Amino acid sequence: MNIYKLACIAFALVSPLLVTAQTPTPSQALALEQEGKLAEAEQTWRQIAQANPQDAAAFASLGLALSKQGKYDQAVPAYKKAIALNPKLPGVHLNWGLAEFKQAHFEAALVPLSAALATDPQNIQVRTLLGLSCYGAKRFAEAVKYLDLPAKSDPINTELQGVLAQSCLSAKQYSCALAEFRQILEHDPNSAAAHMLSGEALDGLGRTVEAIPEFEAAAKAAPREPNVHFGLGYLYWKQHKYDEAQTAFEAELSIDPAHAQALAYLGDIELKKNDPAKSLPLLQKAIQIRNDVRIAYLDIGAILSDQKKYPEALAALQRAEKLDPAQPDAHYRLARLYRAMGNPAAAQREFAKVNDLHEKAEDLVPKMSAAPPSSPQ
Amino acid sequence: MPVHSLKFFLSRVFACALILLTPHLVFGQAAGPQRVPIPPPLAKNASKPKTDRSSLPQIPIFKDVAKQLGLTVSHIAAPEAHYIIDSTSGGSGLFDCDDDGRLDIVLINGSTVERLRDGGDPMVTLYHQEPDGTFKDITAAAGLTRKGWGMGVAVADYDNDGKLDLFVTGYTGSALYRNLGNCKFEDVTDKAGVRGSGFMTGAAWGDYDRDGYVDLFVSRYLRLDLNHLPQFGSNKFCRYKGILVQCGPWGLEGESDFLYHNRGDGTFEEVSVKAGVHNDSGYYGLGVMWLDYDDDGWPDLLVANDSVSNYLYHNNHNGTFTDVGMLTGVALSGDGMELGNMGVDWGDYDHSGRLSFFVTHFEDQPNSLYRNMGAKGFDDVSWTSGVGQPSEPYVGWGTGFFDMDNDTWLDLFIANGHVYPQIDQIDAGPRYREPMLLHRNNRDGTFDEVSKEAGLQAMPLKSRRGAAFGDIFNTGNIDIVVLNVGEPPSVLLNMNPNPYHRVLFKLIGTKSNRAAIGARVTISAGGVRQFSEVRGGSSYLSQNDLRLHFGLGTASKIDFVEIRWPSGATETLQNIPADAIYTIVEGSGIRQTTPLPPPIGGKPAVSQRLTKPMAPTAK
Repeated sequence: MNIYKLACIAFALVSPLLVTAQTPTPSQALALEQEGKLAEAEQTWRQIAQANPQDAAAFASLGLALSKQGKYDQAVPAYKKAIALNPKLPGVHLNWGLAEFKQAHFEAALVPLSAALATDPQNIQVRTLLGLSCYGAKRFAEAVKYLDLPAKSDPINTELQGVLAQSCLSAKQYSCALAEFRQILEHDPNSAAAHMLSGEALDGLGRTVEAIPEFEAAAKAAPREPNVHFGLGYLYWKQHKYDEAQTAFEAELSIDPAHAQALAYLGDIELKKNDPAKSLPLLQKAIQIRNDVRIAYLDIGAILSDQKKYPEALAALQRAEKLDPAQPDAHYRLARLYRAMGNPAAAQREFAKVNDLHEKAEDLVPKMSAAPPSSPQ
Repeated sequence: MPVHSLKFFLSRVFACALILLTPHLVFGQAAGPQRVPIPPPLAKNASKPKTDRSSLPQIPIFKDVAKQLGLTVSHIAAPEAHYIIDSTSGGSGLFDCDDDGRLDIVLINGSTVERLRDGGDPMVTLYHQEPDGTFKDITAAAGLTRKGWGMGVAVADYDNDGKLDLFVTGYTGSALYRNLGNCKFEDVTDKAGVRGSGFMTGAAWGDYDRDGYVDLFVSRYLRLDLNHLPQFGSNKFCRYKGILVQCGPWGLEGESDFLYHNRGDGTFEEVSVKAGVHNDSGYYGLGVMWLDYDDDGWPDLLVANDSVSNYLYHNNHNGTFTDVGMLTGVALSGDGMELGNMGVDWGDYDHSGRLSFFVTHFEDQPNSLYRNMGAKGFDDVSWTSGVGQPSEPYVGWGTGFFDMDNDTWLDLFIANGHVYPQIDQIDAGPRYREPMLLHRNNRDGTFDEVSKEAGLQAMPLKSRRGAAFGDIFNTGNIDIVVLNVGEPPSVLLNMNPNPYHRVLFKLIGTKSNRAAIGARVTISAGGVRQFSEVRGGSSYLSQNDLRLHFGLGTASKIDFVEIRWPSGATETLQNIPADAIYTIVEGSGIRQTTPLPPPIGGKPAVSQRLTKPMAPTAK
């Protein structure tokens, strides 16, 4: 059922109680709405509400008239006033939640939508909207909880299944993500996005070998899809299949020559092939485009260290360290650099950090189980 | 360098589309997915021309002859490997237990939890090499009857009586067998005080204080109570790639290590704390090895630890050690990452005059080669040398540098095998039974993986562990004995077709420990300088032939041989003919010469046994 209709029905139920002789009537306001004269209808509801400041339905209707005009920011206070006057007024929580959602106020939408769902637990639309709000608010595990039923109720709605799958993925519920993506692919075997996300889910499960064909299928279905070649390249890179990775990164760069990550990983491959002369320009170009590509700084640090350009190497490694102090690699390379620079005290400090980080990881991370931890770069 | 889940890079791409999608999602007004025009296919990179290797020798073919030789006893292992202890056994060894000039073979037997509860299994099987080249199981007759759960082997002459003794590590108890001669052994474990406790894995003999008696280091893996075993698949540490597997090592407490100082009276004193090698951190110890990485004449100690940092204990020359693993660069990968370290070896693969370090790793963690840069420490050259990438899919164990074609350059072999039989449930990716790897030294700091050319890929896949290297039939070629989990072993006979010269040295200490463990032999032949050290334990829980083998290429004589004995004494021999096995006694020079068969296509350089000892030049 359309939510606007729902609000109108709610309004119709309560409107007889609200009509007074000195003000425009709700019937007049409704008639204006039906004629599409939304601005006039809004004004009429304002007059009714002003004349009847305890009239919850008038405020609810005002909110609806504002929502219909896309004035969600003004609609929200009207809904809130209506709820304050009568928390049980039907449909208002849903409208309020929708108004928040439309403004991308996902966190704010959760309260009214949760209330709406509590009132009507079987309402699939409310459940869907709440699930989407959770997704928007990055509450992925909750999004999975709310979206599961709507997705099952509407099995051909691949977009909804896509959001559910993405939620599963983000909540690291990889098996759930994989099941959803596979369902999407049953309906649309050429969905590049679904193949990519399936690949992500498989990769998240530590099944990188199986993720590669998914990305290959995605690249075949949509060769110009942003990131599809980069994703494929990264999976090859993880598998240490550098020739294949190089081809994929180059494909990404043929679409987006300023893809900093692709440049950086290409540079890393050249370094692994023992060709720092080819590697360094790629890495430097990557950090000119984006100054947060950590692998580029790490590799630049390594190359410049070998070239005994110690101050420049130090700056690069310090930048890598700053981008993610929780990774031991930059500390380790810094330690070795300090050692080469004849600064054993600084080297010892960095070695100590490496040890500390590994010890913390040993406490926290099941390294031999499931997937590697995801951490910011 | 951290390896992220792909989600880390890509998930943000999809998050921002929510608002746009909402009407489609909620109200069912979605249009079909938009299609993008398909561009012409990208030009595929021209494949790089393969480096010309035509100047390198022909790759030897290896042939598994274990069954023909009579090595038919199966290693014992639970097929489902529900516990981590099911996955760590075991080692293999080559030594001449009756000094008849022919190598004998010792193999760890393994066991299972159920069998151990009933007393366990004999810890080893000993095969004696008969004069006809076949092998006979003499385990019981040899007195090697102690039962338990064997893990690894290491050989030395701990009492300097001229007979090689055998140490066997095991879960809950190790065994020391004193050789009485003629391959008869006496179990002196308790008398010697080396029974130990817990989950003992690696063992290596080395005379760290250079008092003439070999000492013994024993690594331990983790705490495991047979009555409270962590249940298969029971928690987050018992899952791998979404499937249920054995638990550990993460989530289980590690154990300290042992260093037994040889008192010289047949007994040992455990001195690990005093010496600084106790492993207070409780790292998960596996492969161990004594070596002199800095060439100061004192044995240092490498301990490979699973999933954490390696220890490289530098010998302080006063009975104590300092861990320099982190400082020198061998504790972690070149990116500072902890790896699942298993088997180890050291060798001068680049003719630099320095020992470089090779260590095998768990799946997705390519094996590491650390090049010894002298005072600069070690550089991780795993990728640039070419040994990293081929190993990435496999779990590596037994390994060794050896000159497979006698061209003077050390090659590398790796025995692989997964720890989880359940890994076969996953459609793609690694299998429980894995192929072996053979890296040919390209003489430029790089290696090519040539297992296919060497015939190793055609062999049945197995889950392999220990690997021992030695010239089993005194042919001048190095063969390999590999332990296969739950199956009989493999004996990989080296059918080297190259007509290159070679030499073996059997060293006998007098002032030094009798088996000359720790002696370093440097040779120069044909303008090529090589060196090697005698080791009592290396690879993965395994024992190589104590005789040192050198490929000599086309050089038919050795210009000089320098022996640096563990005692510190140095001897030099000059103009030694190639193609023989020389027995050199400390202070007395060559005491015996056994000719090797002529290199294929070549002529024998030594045609008869020398009767007159060749005296050394002593320093």
